[in-house]
Amino acid sequence: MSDLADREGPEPGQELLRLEGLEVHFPVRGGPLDRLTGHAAVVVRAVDGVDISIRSGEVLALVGESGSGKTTIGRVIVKLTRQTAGRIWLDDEDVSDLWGVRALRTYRRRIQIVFQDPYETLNPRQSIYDFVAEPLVVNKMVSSDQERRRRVMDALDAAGLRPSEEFAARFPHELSGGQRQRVVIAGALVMDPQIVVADEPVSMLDVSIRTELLRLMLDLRAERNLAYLFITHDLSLAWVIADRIAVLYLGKVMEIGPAERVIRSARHPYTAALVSVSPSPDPPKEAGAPNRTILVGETPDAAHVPAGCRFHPRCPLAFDRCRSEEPPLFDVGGGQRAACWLAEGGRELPVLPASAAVSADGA
Amino acid sequence: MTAPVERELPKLADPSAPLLEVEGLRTHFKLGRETVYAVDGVSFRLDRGEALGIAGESGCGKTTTALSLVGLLPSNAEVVEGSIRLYGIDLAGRSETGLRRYRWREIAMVFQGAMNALNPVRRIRDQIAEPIVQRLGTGERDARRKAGDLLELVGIPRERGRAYPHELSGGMRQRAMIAMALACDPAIVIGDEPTTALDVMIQAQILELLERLRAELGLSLILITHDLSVIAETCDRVLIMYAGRVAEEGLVAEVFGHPRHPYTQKLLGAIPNIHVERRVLETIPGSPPDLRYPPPGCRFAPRCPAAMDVCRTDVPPEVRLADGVRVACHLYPPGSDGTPVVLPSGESGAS
Amino acid sequence: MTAAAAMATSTRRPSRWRALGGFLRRYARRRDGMLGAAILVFFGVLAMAPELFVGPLQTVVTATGGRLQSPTAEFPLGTDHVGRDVLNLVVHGARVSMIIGLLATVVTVLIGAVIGVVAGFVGGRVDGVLMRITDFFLVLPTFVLALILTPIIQDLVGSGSREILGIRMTLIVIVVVIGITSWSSSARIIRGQTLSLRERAFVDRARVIGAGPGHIMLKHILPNVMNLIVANAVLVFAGAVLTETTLSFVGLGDPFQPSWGQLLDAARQSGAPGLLAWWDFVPAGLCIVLVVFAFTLVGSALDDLLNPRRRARS
Repeated sequence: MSDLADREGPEPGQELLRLEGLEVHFPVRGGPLDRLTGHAAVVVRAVDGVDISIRSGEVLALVGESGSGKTTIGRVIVKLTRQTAGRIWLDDEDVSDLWGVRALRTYRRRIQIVFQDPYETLNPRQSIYDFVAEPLVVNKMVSSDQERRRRVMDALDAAGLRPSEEFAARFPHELSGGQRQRVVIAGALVMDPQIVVADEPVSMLDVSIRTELLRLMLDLRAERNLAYLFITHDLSLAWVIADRIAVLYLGKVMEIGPAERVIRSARHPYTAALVSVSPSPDPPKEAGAPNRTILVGETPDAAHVPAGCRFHPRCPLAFDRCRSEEPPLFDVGGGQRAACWLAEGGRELPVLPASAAVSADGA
Repeated sequence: MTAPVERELPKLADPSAPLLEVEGLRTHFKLGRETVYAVDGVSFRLDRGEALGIAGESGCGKTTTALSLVGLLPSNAEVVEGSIRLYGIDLAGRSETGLRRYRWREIAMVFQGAMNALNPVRRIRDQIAEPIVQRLGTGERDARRKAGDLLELVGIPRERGRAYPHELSGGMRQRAMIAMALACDPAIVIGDEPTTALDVMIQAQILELLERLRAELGLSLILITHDLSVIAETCDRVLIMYAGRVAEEGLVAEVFGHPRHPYTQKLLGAIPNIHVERRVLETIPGSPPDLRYPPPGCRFAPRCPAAMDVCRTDVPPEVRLADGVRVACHLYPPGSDGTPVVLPSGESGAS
Repeated sequence: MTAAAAMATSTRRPSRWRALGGFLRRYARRRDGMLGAAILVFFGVLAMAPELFVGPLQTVVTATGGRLQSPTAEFPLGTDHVGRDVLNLVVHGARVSMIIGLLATVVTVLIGAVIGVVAGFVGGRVDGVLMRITDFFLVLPTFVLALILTPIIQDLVGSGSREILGIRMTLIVIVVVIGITSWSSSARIIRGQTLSLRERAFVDRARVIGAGPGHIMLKHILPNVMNLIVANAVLVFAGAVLTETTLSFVGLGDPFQPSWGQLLDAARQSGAPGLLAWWDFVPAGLCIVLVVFAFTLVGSALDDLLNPRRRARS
């Protein structure tokens, strides 16, 4: 098995999936009194205008903290949650309004998901075989029991669970966390999808097990030209695995581009701050605080998105225009785009002050 | 680094003894008829003002060690051997009453998962005031005022003390937990995965808070986590645990700079590091041993790429090397000069 | 993962039989559950083959004893007001009481489970409508409703001697009535569990692979509420036996297939209590108490054992 660094897949192919202006707003119903007094219902703007495309065979990491909307985007793509505005294109076909079990049959074969918690994704009463075979059964994808069995065993084998016959007969509680997650991956593979949404697929696994799973995912990408939408809060993880990284904040993309560029020459202050506080296992530098830009406060509630640039209250480089106008994603070259007024015209970011933030936002 | 704040020592304290000294700690669980050898011979020391990180993966016994220190083990666990000396006073095996003077007043703990440790139906301020009233005998009003002081100390506006836990964000809850741990002005605070569930920015805030508290209050810290990066950034010394035993221990700069124990090397190699080139990530095939039937000899031998015959039969002795690092591995026998042994490269098949 | 959980990499061969064996072994360790099970098995055996023990059911015609004779060697439990062997009647009564209880439970739990799962899973307006209906039945005093419905339905159906599966029509009516009046609490309980199951990741996953609501309810929700259904069914059984007893006691039962409740009613009518002929009503009453008690023991043991939080997470 080769190393992660060697696992560059084939050149990312053409665009498979595109999200345009995606919005997911959840109305929170007020009490009866609110309705009487005419108070507007509070709206949680979980996803607030996102444009993203996924190309075949690429690993696109969606990085964000809690409240960024990254999980919701994943759910919209696999049609678990319905978008409230915006359009979704799969291969130039508008699938935004595609809904319902029958209508989604073809769609679902092409896009699958791996969830975060391997202990929860498996029904404790379902055998491994049944779990992996279920997509085939539900979609009536095979004509004979033998064919089904073969495909299940192939999927288990591809996920590294060998001997596959033995694993197929087991139940979830007999497997370790890493093994369960492999089962989940096998269950996603059995339909031969083109895109796999992986929502924090390794965050609940031990550090030494994570690498195995990541290697598996990248091997599968190389073999099958799979594309991954890799959702994670861990920027360091995205750094190691992704071709492109999109940084999300409060429902919008702050920066997107090739991993190397986004991390090494971030054009958005939020990205730069995240990079600076990502801990590293290297021994501490010489005396003097490391250059960490710790932001003040916490991500605001998605029901109360700040006006102008939504990051401006916490941004150490904010100025007047940021408070009133929301910046679009500016192209800064090399496939990288950043939603910051400072990035307009392709300028580089000034050095971030190392703010010593201690107090939490009282909100 | 920190000037120790003068504190009133407990009556039985020996002023010349180290702050905390744990020797040969063995804590076993009873599961039905079987015994789980969760912590099986752990020794370490904590000096005044120091920050010690205890690192390891799940099942290595780090949380059990912490719970043994504060006497909060579940009913089916007990410390079967070893000593836990606080200022020279042995706390191991003491009863609830015997520990009362020390728990929370000398050693306090910030638990994993703030939401579980906080009472959902009591206001934050009252929960922080509770130990002050109970253990220090302070009056209610004074205790509540002190609670307010503590909230400000950890960066929560005083007024928010009236809130209930669910009204606070994750980061704020964790700060409240820290305030609660500081309530009786302890000498040692143990943090059990204090930042694990938090976003990286909040994690940075909390770690910075802990650093500041160390400096201002002269606190000593034991940080328990699986995240070696967090330890690298906040601790002076690190203790690497595997399957209930110590693998390696020493100054962070030494252990992380030139790790010796194969497990330490592999573990460090498995962490993605955003500040260096994208590179190979290490994998450790297999999984930790079932602690009901630990293997004889070195417990890491089944997964170790450098395992020798002696590793499977003899428990490696703990050897202290010239730079102060303690390591338990047959690659570094007594008298070894401590040159780190580079692991054979080449992958062992995973799965 | 705790130290305990880190051990879950066993390579045991799995099988449902093994899991069942493990479950039975854990059950066997509970004294309350075993006592309850023993009592139920005892009465179950009596119910299945009463003739093996006491011969055919004695009727007024075949009665051989004197009236209300106290217990003797020939009639260990004495005789009733028409000279029938009380032991004979009580043993045969077991069959009626237990079978009615069983059938009524099946009806109740079936209706309750279907409505509970559908309402909980589908949600929305369907849930609203179903729950309003459920609440309606929940609020009505069960027994009063049974009292009112039974004679009405018996009239509709006619109380001739038609039999279904060896059970007379009148008793079927009782089964139906118990079912109609008891399903609502089962439905509520099962709906609650369904609501929490619906949010779990494995249900999401089933949706993502394209499973329709029917498949999810059958393959994912139902197996995971089964433990609740079983525990609930046991208690429903106890309630059904009691309800049947009471209905019979107030005269709505079938005098030709005496159940325990019937026997109690007959004893009351014949004035046995006043005559201190305790053997006429105490045995039947005792059996009822024992059976209901046994059910609660079993129910509580099952509830404890099947509680998923108790089972150590691997």
